[in-house]
Amino acid sequence: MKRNTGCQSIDHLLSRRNFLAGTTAAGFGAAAAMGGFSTPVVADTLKRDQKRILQVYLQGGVSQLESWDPKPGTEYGGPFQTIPTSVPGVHICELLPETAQLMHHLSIVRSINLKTDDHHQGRLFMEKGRRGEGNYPYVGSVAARYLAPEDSPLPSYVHISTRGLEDDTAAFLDARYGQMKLEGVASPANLGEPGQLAEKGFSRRSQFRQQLNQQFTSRRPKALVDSYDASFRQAAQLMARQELFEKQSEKELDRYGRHDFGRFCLLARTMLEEGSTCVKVTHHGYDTHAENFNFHVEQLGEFDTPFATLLGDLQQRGMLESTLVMIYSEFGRTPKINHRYGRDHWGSAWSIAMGGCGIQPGAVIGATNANGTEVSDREVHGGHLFHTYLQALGVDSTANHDIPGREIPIGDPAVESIKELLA
Amino acid sequence: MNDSLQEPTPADDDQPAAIDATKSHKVAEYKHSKPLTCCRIDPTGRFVFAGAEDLNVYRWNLETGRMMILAGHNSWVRSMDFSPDGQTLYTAGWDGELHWWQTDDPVPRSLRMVRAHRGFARWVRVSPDGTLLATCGNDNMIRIWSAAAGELVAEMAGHERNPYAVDFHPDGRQLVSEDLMGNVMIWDLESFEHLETIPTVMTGYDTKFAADMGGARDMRFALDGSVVVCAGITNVVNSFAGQQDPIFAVVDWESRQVLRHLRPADNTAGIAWGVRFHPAGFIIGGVAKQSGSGLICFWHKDEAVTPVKLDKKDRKAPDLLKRQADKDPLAVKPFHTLEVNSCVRGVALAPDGQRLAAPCFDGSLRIFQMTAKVEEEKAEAKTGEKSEG
Repeated sequence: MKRNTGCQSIDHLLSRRNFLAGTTAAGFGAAAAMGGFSTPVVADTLKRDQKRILQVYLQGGVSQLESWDPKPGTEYGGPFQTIPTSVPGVHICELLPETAQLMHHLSIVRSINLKTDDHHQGRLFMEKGRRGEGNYPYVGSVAARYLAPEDSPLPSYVHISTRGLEDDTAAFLDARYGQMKLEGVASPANLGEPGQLAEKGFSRRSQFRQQLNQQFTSRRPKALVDSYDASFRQAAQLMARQELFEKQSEKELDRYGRHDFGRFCLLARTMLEEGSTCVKVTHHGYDTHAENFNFHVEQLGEFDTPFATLLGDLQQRGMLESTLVMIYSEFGRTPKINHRYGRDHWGSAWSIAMGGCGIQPGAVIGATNANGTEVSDREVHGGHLFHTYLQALGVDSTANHDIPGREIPIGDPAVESIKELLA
Repeated sequence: MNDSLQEPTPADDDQPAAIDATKSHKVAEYKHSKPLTCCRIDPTGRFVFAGAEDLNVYRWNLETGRMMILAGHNSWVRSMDFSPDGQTLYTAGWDGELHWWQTDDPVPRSLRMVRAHRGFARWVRVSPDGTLLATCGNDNMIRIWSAAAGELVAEMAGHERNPYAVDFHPDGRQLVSEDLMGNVMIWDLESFEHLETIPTVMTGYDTKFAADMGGARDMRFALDGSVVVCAGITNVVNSFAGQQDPIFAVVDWESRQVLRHLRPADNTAGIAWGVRFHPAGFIIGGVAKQSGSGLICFWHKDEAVTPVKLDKKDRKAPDLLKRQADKDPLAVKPFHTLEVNSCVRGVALAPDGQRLAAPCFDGSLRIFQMTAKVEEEKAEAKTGEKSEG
């Protein structure tokens, strides 16, 4: 694995090998396993420097023309204006005024061509970095595998959403790296201890399970049992952190907003602070085949404040240098406006934004032509982005997965990262 | 102001043809390369103006067909209105700007611009006496402007979601506005205070996509001020695919109740984009169908203002009325429907009451005559689109 020098503070404290092997005997894992960090100073440093991902998924396909690549006054530009951002010369759509003020923390890729207009295929390509249905893990699972402490205090890959897009995110990686879905900010179902079982009884049952595990694995391969055991451990850790799902601070909700997405962003901040490695927040409602402009007023109006608040908080708390922030969809929307004032699916020339850990801030990568119908410079796809995300986090995406007896490249070997985007 | 319509008065030597909506037929079509968004015929009947999915307003001379461009906005124009004397055109754009134009300017240019709203300026209406303009926009504000000087007279806050349209009561003392959530708010124009809110079924929450859709796409008082009709949508099934139903809610001014729902003849999915009262006693509605074609529907006004008694279930849960036309107890079906080959995005009336204009998605501004065809028109019509009358 190649170390990313742009986001390396934690490397001074912990050996790279510990991360890759996922060992628990040393470093961060051991510290966490002991019930916390060894000293407040180290704890603060580790909290700040543990590499993480914040994924903000705009489900359905946000319009690039109404967000990151506006083209007012052109054939398909639509009705919106552009606004200047905190990066001189970079303009985005007027629907993102608060995000615009924080663009110096973000970069834009305006030249994505997935060659698919299908929701499912687009999502898989953006998450797995590979086209098609191949059994590869999502970037969140890869990050969980290689970046999460072995004894992570919380599930390492959490997805906060209102409804389900059930995916096998871990693929051939251990199940513990799979996505844990939270249906909003409510406590997950069955998080409390069973009513008829006292705490002592619950503890004894866990001990008994571990004893059986040890006996079972003494003469057998232990990978599967380890996986189950990790799941139990995660569940127990989450049960001990019930307070994460209790009432959110009114003061913070004033800042984030009281709608679902505001609450999700606030919970995302909490989960990242408390040790989750990848937190994905889905904001629904961008599949605007009709009323594209009114819906973008509504949806991006809802997105802008909570997202900007979260990004600002990560920066102010010293976490942005160690947190990769991705704002993405499964594709963009057609330049052509249909008879319902809608824009349809468009994977051929669209944009995302990202920032934070390992990403050069304030950059604009690639371009589309004057009316936005095709990529005119630096065409990239989900494979390039996948390498870029992981390399920004210090994971060598050109290496193989650490699977016994199998050599599976982490990223698509046929493509590379967007090197000019890496810090 | 309302369209400057007078009850047609026959002249001895040149008796105009009798208005008969069932005989409506297309008599002209003006073409533009971009989809149209709205239109108005000026009070003198010389010009028809249209907004489009570009930065201009277009003016066609109804006699010669000559087109002129009114350039000045920086976004689409979706609403326009005239001074009562027809000399001034006011346009509201999605750039948030309100522009003043001389209607018959040989070389049209913006005479004045005010930044009316943050985000879209969605609507503009002129008061019956022509002294005030009312606008609404994406900053959730209703603003009142002096027509003569463009000065801000008052601003009224109260809508929690975007107000989409406004209209003055013909007595000039009150104003109505309707927002995304289908709430019709009544405002006093002396105190500029909110008086009352009337809920309608013109909104819906798309549970799959977690977003609201609704609001008035046009609203018009009857010439006598007895009712106001709001054009929009209801019965949201999948609004992201355009699957909801067009509706025209008739709100009784005296009782502040929704009297009836004007609906197309069948359970058509789409959006109602325009409504006008015809002085001959009928209401005209323009509809864009989900499929891509359009309708112009005609309802008898008498029927549209006749109350019906709801059963107990519907009285207790008015949201149940957000249902398909054939199951809606308040539904009024049109006495005539004109099929149009493209989505209809508004309707406008000529001052003589004989012609009707419809701006369409295919870039055509279609002009219909609401009288029987004369012989030569019959001959011309053979080359036209059959389905459009």
